[in-house]
Amino acid sequence: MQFLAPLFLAALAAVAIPVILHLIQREKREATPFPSLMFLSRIPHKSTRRRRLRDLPLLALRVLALVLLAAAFARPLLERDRAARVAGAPAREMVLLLDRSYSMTLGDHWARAVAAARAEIARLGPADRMSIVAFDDGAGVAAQPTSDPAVLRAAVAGLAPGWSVTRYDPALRLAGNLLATSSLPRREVVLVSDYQRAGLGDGLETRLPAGVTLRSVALTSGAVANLAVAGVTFRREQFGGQERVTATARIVNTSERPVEHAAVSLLLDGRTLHTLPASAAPHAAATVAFPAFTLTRAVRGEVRLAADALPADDVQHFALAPGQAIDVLAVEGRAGASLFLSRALEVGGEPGFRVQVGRGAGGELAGTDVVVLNDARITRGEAARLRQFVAAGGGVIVALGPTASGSELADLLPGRPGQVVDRTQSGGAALGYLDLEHPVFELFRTPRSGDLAAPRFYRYRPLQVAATSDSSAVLARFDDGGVALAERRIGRGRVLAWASTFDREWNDLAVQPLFVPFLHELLKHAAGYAEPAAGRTVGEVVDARAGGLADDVDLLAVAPDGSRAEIPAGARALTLAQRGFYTVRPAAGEGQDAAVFAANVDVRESDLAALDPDSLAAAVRTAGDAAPRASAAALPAAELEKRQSLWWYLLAAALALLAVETALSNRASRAARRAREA
Amino acid sequence: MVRVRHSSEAVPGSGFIDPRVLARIGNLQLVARSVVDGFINGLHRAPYLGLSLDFAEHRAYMPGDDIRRIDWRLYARTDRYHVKEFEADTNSNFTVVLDTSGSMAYGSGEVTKFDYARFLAASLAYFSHDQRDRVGMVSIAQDVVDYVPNSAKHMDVLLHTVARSKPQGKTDLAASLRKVNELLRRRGIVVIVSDLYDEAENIIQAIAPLKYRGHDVIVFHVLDPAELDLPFDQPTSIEDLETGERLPIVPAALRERYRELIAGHIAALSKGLTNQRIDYALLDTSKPLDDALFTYLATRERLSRVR
Repeated sequence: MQFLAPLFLAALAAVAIPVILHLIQREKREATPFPSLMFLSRIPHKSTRRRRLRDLPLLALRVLALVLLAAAFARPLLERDRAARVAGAPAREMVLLLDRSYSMTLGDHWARAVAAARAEIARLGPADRMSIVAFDDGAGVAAQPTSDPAVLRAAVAGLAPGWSVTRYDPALRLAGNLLATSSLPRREVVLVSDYQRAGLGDGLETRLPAGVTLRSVALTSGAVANLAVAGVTFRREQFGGQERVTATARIVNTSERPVEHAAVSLLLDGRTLHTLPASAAPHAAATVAFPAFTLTRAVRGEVRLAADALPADDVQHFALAPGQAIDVLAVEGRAGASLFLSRALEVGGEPGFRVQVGRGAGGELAGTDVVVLNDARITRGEAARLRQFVAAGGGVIVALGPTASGSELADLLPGRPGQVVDRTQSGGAALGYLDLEHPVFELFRTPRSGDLAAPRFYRYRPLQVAATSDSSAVLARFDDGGVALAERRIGRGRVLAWASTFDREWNDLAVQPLFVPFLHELLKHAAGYAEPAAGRTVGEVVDARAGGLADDVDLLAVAPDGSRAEIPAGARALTLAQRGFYTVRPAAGEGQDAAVFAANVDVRESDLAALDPDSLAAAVRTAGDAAPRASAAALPAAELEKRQSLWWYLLAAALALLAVETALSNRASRAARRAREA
Repeated sequence: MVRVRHSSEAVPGSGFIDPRVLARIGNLQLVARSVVDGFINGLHRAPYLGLSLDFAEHRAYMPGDDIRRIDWRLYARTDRYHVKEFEADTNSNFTVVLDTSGSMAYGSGEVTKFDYARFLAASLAYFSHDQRDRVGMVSIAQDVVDYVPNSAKHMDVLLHTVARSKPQGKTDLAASLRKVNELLRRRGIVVIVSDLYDEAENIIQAIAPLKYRGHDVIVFHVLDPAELDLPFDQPTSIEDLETGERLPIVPAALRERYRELIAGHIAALSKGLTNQRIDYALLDTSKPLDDALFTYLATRERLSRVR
């Protein structure tokens, strides 16, 4: 027998520790000061009686356990297996990583990648196995480990470049996982890629298992000029009752060569509107502002560059619709209670508000986004209808003034309205606490953007919100701690309760400058309004029903390449996997109103700067595995020790001894206690 | 054997803030000045120090904005309405609530918790005074012990009161904080420095009313490393500094459970106070004061945006 790490045997000196501890252990007599016994007194008291040296079997067990531990760490091995060395060339487990990001469409990169993969397959030995992983920003197994070249060739033939960006981490992690389970002696990863530096992201986190080698097949080409449309922004203006849109495109030159007078075109519904020239120095950007156009209906558009070496990033798609308004039904309990509210909502246009003032909530709610119960009294039946309206995605704002309902609203409100608090004698209450991170108040976070402590509240009905509620949240409190504004989520919608009025009946908020922006933010939040995005990025997941398509109908999503996917009733998520326009419409109705999503490539991939393949190979190497793995014959002792794994048995025996020692010492202490009690 | 952790210099110049160095300086005003000046010098371009009427940025005009703040010169150039925005004034009330109960007298190294709390209180008061705030302090134990009302002229009184405070007596945080809430009428920043030996729920219930009154509350939980780790290795009798009660223990047997209990207490305080939107920071007396100063500055910066 010999040991790989004999220095660990020095730890045998530790067997003296239990003996010495038994001999020198002394209980301290003086008290130790401590701030508080609050926590110590909660812990059940343990006996401080020392074990004595006469428990010799216990001591022997402990010493033996220490000896076994020291021997295990010294990594023992037996000589007799030395002859059992593997002869001949060992079999190989390979993982071929094939880059399918959109930068592989540059020139003949993809054809060369496929040829390289086929050459690797042709070189496989009869005992070798290979799996194929295609990767971009994610990685997937295209062919499970096999020795059959026909299966591997078919898998390669079925692959094509996608629309995503390069990321090496997921691919290398998957390769590591595939190789970790392999029993073959040689393990290898072959990475076929254009080795873009951008694929490293913030740095590599993956390390390949020890003994795995990484081989590079780098597809490079000389310096090429490449322009990309990095983004399009829009400015909307009302002009003569019509909406005018100005589009501005950002063009980036990611290459080493300058580009002069490249043609940039703006197209709407396939028709070219304007073409302007753009020039950009190497690694610089240029901005192209197109003349404004009138937007009267929903359109599909694109900003397109003249095709260059990498055509995938030469176009940005967008879908635009005329500005949408929020439909508000204000139900008032007193004549004129909604005067300030409706006037405030007439101001502004992004988004606009269409306000309808009524005296009852019993009417049709279809087409309404938000119902404002403005100090209104409603029946239990109307409250139940409103609850259904909220659960389906609507918004309700309740202003609790002098004539507002109380118990009828119990199932709707985030808390129970309390008694009216009268502060007229003390000059009125002010708002004390505000949740400035909430969307309703976020606007007021910036300096000088409205003094929310200025309005005076002479009367209010504070809500009593349960502190443990998950669905309700307090957004504002008065200076006495009473809840001023609270929110409750019901289904897909939300209810906001305001503990005072929206006119001058109980407060002077309505004549303060911040009334208009506060009310706009409140209404926008209640309606769940989100600024519509004109374009999105490939890989993004969107809400397929965001365009107002009902939850209970099956939908059909048509991808840019014409392929169709069903979205069953209740499901909402749609992943944008291709560049271009996705159309979502009810499965049962051809030609019905549809939602359109524009998907564009991530322009990080446009940066064609390459990485040194050797530095990537060095970055994924396991610590201590610096050199490529040596053959089995070069490290016989280490290999034998690894195969025998005697340390494992010694460690298990030591743990078993310690378990026996615990049981024995517990029994001994119980016996001693019984003896004392007797 | 008690471990004393040696602090690293997180901020250049924070050597001045090392509590072991500060413990050797007798004069509290000198301590406060060393800490604040050393800290400020280390920060270089501090993002939080904008004083009143500093121009911040332009923002598009929105309905409801005061039209007097429209930048007409910018309107002449761009044909669009923009308003000018400024950093906030910093003339507010600053009150430090200092726990002077007996448990604060504990220290496993050179610095006791009370010394550390005093340095912190003096430094923050000095800092706020520098920012033209009205400073005040309340020391508490079982009841309110001392009260210095907020005033721009009370800096010396405050330092004198802090310097002559002695840690003694039992703690009743809930009762004393209720009284503090009655004393502090005008809204401002309230900094509570204590070892928080009470049930987490009681503490949160006692502090929350301060928040409801509109105060911005920061809680600094000061603990000695030995209280966090229970590093004693010999069987011993532990004596409560407040009550004198003794408990014989074998530290090795209790350590894990004790650490769980104290970690649970800290987690409950952190979660409960955060839910109430109250800033909470745990301070280890072996570490420099810059963590505490950063927490305070971050809150100041947020507060300045509200006004």
